[in-house]
Amino acid sequence: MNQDQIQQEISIIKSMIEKTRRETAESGHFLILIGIVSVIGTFAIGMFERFKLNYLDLPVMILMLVINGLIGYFVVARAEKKEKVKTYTKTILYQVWFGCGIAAIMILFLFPLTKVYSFNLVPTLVSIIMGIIIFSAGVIYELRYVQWCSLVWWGGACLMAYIESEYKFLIMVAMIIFGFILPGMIFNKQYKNRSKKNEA
Amino acid sequence: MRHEKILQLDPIIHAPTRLAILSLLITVENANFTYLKESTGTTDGNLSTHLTKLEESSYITIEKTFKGKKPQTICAMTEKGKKAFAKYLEQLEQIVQMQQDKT
Repeated sequence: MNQDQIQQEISIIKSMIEKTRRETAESGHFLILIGIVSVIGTFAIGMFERFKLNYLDLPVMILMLVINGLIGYFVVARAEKKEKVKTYTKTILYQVWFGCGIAAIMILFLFPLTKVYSFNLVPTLVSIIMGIIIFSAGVIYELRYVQWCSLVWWGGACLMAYIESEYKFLIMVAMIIFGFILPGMIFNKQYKNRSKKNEA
Repeated sequence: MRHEKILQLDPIIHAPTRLAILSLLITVENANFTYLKESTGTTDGNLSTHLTKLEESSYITIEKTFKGKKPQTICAMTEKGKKAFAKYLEQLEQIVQMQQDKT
């Protein structure tokens, strides 16, 4: 086996691995869509509190959860339908998201409704979970900028724990924009770049 | 010494198309026939032949399923295949090292 043959074999291995990496990039649509729904929902909840319509908070939260659940279901189902290859990366990511989603539901509804703690603590606890979701997505896909976005969630969680204001919801809205929609856009940019390379 | 190493290279893997197939499958849980065909740039018949050879060596598993109403062939690497591929890479590395030592 000469040098050229070895180089050829190594280049085959490299190019195949790179092709798979490109094919399996995350589109970021899920994060962008649930980010938009959450911004609208959080803004609505903030406005209801501002105008003393607190009884509408819970229905909006449930509606937001249902819509986000449906988005998750359709995005994943659509991705699986188009999928030609199944990767460990995506499996791990979806399982982490699913697990954190269950934890978020417990924090959002189960414990406050059973009076374990007050609803005031919910945004802080949910933000900690969201930070874990974004951080793990950044680590799994080796996107450092996405990892940094988790700091928005954790920083915001601290901020919301100590600030008492009727405009607290605006912090949450900013966190969703920079902690969900922005990482989603970073994923989408990488996805488009890789799609272009694959077409080329 | 050098000849010994060459003789040890796994003949099942030591074919460009099969090497490409295994390089793809090592990084994923599974891949379908269309994806393997597109990525390796081979024909249906050629790919089938190579996949059968890999399956006969127990390096991969081939499963025929349905996605909706469409039939599809799903290929995944076995533990034996992963070990053989790792060994192959190790040997390739050793050959490169030996050639570098020579020069």
